[in-house]
This record gives sequence, structure tokens and C-alpha cells, in this order.
Amino acid sequence: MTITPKPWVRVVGGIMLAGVLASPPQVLANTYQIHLLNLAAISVVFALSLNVVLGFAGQISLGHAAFFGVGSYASALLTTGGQVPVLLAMPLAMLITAAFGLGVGIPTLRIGGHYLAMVTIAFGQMASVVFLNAAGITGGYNGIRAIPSVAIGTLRLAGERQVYYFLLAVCVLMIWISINLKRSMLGRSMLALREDEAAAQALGVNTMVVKIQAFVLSAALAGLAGSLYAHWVGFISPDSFTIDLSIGVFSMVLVGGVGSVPGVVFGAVLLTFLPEYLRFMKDYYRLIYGAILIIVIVFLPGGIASLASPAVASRVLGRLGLGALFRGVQDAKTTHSGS
Amino acid sequence: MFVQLLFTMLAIGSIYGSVALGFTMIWNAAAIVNFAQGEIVMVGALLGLTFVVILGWPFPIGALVAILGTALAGVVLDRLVVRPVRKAEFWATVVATLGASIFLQNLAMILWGPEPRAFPSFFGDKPVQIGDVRVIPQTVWIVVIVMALVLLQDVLFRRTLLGRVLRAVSWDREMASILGISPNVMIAITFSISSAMAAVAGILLAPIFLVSHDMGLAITLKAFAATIVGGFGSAKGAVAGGLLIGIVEFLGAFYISSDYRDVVVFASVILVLLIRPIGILPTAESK
Repeated sequence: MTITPKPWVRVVGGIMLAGVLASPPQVLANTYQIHLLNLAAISVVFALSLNVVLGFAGQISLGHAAFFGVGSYASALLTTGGQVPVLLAMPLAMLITAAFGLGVGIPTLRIGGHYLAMVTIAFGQMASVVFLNAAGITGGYNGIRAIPSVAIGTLRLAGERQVYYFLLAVCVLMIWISINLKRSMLGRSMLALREDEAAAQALGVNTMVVKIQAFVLSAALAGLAGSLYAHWVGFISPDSFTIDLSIGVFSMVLVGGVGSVPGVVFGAVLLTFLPEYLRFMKDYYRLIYGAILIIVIVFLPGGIASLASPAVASRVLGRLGLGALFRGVQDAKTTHSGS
Repeated sequence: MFVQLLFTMLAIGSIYGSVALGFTMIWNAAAIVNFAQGEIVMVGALLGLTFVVILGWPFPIGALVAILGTALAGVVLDRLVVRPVRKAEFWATVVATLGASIFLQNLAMILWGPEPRAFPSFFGDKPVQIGDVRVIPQTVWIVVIVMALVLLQDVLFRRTLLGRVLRAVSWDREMASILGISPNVMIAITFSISSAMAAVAGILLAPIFLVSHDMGLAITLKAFAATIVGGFGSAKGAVAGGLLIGIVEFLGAFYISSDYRDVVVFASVILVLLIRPIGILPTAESK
């Protein structure tokens, strides 16, 4: 059962949502809150990039930090060493990362499951070793400093409040791309590949090409996220691009709901804010973060997005002893649609 | 000199192999890749450190208690994290066990502190002259003990009733449960055995590396690489893969560069998979 709102509801809702999204720099006095929102926007772009290969095409990647890192370093090097304008460096960084995506995509053609998990982990580990040790290019342990921020024409977006609108725009664009990709020919081929590779082939989907396209597109978008990150923080070093980042973004997609665009957006925002709000627990915060990951997956193996399915919602709420609450909502819906 | 290096290399390799064997046992019993296996090794090493070094118990007793304690930790991990997600998709099990890995790492940091600790060698870490060759006793003991454990595990699985029951579960869980074998109990037993083996690996490894809360993930990744190279699900493959990874890592560090040894290891893994996409010694069920 899908509820289609009336056109005027959608217009008013859209305007209200735009208002809410545009307000934080005016409303929030605390710059740290804006900082977290900016980080969340970059996380959303990054998580949606992983969702292309993992959620749509069903191919696991536990090394996505490598693509993020390549995008970061490429963009940083182009703008600091090469004097390339930031807005030009971003697409160039995406192209470079896409080439790496092609490099990872090709060896994965014959393999899947655990073997694919291994290849992507291997790629991620190799990349983090290179980031750390190829000091001539990456600056080694010291990383790269003084990366310029985004400039539109002569206007340089300095400070969290100005960057917010830029990151928000990219983030919204990314959500739009994800939703439309899912409905496109390519997206549907990816979904067919995810559901059943043999059946997809029988229906005329060239699964080899689709796998490579998924990896290349996913890598390019992860590179975009990395590039956004580099120009936002202004300083990058190898310890930002370790396997912890790959695990973090993987958790975002899984907690949100593999393949569901709203789910992944929610998962990325939640897992950006959650660790920050747990920081008051000092030494215990990572411990509790780990426990929360386990609890969410144990109760919702399909992620938070699976709550949208009434069957799952009733089962989970039932297990939590909140079955009555769910039945109440269902009753209300039935009465509403009956009237 | 060469023999000394060879034993160090085989020692590291057999540690990877024994953890990889634990991985494989869990995979065969529960169809789960346990990404917290390296943290179980860490728990074993830290419990060993607590009983033997901090409390000063005699080594055999301290080690035994540490091994039993780690086996118990494995059973708790199975009950709280693995059993609820066993039938979920592969990806969900990856996140659940990675969550357990983060949890255990940070629990260990709170309990034992963030500083790495030294663990004195019980078997001796000074080279000993035997005829023409010099060897470090610790490394020889590691190879001997791990290989003995591997053989013991093989006998357990092939010759005993418990082993047959465990194999029946890995063969066909549903059929086994129709025959009155409880998969839950058998999986718990598998976790206790593989965790005990991980504890042995941790205690043996401790004198070579420092013991710390964050030692687990690197071990998990190398052991996972070993199971993959060996052919997923194959016990022989896991041990062979572990030895191979240990040898490649060591040769990479020795001949190419210590900084880039992980690049050498993981590039070799990818190379093997390009040539043989299902590993070196795959079982019939590997996929």
C-alpha cells in the first residue's frame, strides 16, 4: 500500500523541507552543529556511492575508503600542486577515481561473495599502505596541508556556514541521481544482477558490463565524496582513509537499508551524529557504538528501511513489546482509508 | 641465519593458519564469516598476559585458564551476536561481527589500557645453536604446537563421534536437526573450539609482537586472506593458505620493503584469485 499525496501537499511539503534544510546556518548559533551537518552531507554522498555497487548491483565492497582516499588525494594534489581551480579539480578527481574503479572492477568479474570481499579489502589495505608510504606524492604521514576551499567564480566559500549550502546542493543532487539511477535502464540491470545473475543474463543483461559500470560509477562518486572532504577540511593524512572508514561507510549502508536511497541517507546521517553524541561517554563511546551496530542488525537485518514494511515493523515492535503501538497505527490507517 | 628466518616466517604463517582454520570451522558449521576472530585472538593474549605476567601464575596453568576463558568468550559471542543473524544475508553478518570487533577492541582498551604490553617468552627468545644452525626456540615451538593442534583437530573431526556430528551439521544443517542434532549446540561447540585455538595462537604470538587491544583486525584480515587463498571452506587450504601468507609477507618484507609488505601480501592474494578464482585447495562447496 503506497500513499500518494495530493499535488498541493507535495508542493507545500517540498517548500517546507527546503526551508528546514536551508535554515541551519541562520538558526544554529553553534558552528560545531554546522560542522556536523557538513560532515553528514559528505557521509551521505559517500554512503550513496557505496550503495550503487552494494545496494543496486549487489556486489560487496569492503574497501571503499580507498576510492574516497584516491579522490581526496587527487583533488588535493591538483589544487595545491597543479593550481587547478577546485570546481574543475572535482570532476578530474572523479575521473581518476573512476579509473581505479575500473582496475578493481575487472578482477572481480569472475568472482563473488567472500572472494570479492577479500579483493576489495586487499585493495583498501594496499591503498592505505601507499597513502602512508609514498611520501613523494602523498606527503606520507604528514599528509597534505592548505588545500583550498571551494570557490565559485571569485567567491571563495570559507567557513562552515558558507560551505553548508554547497555541500547541501551536492548532497541533494546525489540523492536525485541515486533515485533516478534506480529507475533507469542501467539501474534496473544492476537490480536484476543483484537478484539473480543467471536470470539477468537470460533476459539479455550483459552482467559483465553492468558489474564494471557499477564499480566505475560507484568509485567515481566515492571520489567525489573524497574530493568534497579534502576541500572542506583543508588537510588530509593517511589515517583518515583506513579500513575503519570502509567499515564505517559499510555500516551506514547496512544500518540504513541496503539498496534503499532514503534508508541509506538516514543511516549516513544517523551514524555521523551518533558517535558525536556519544562522545560525552569518553572511553566508552566506541564500545557503545559497536554495541548499537550489533543491536540494530540483530533486530533489523534489513536495516532501518525495512521498518517501512508493515510485516517487519510489527514483528520488531512485537519483539520489543510495543505491538500495541503498531496495531494502533494500522487501525488509524485503516479508518483513514475507509473514510 | 636463513634457518632462523625460515622458522620466524613459518611461525607467523602457522599462526595465520590456525586462526584461518578457526574461521573455516565456523564457516562450515554456521555459514558465517566471523570478522571478530582476530579480537578473540587478542582476548586470548590479554587473558594470558593477565594470568601469567600480571598475576604471576605458572605458565601452564595461566595459559590453560586463559584458553578456557577465551573459549567461553567465543560461546558468548556466538549466542549474543552470531545466532540472531545466522539466517540473515551475508552483509548483515559482516556488520554484526564487525560491530562485535569494535566492541571487544574498546572493551579491551578500557580493561587493559591503551598501551601495548610486552609478554616475556616462555620458551626463550634468544637464538640457540643446534649444530650449524641457530634458531629461536619460541618460533620452533609455535610451529610444533600449531601443527600438533591442526592434527588434533583433524583427528577430532574424522575419528570421534563429536567430530562426525559437527561434520554432519556442516554438511546439511536441516538434515542434522531432523536426526536430533541441535545445530545451535553444535555451533556453540564449534565456537568454543575455534576460540580456544585462537587463544593458543594469541598466547604463542604474544612474545613475538606486543599485546594490545588493537592487534586483532590485522590478524583477522591476514587469516581471512589465508582462507580465501586456500579455498573457502577447506581446512587443509586454510592451514596451507596461512603458511603461504606468512611466507609471502616475510619475503616481501625481506626482499622488497618492510613498509610495503602488506601490499606484496594483498597483491599476491589478488593475483592468486585472478588465476584461480576459488583458491588453491577449494572444497566441493566453495563458491
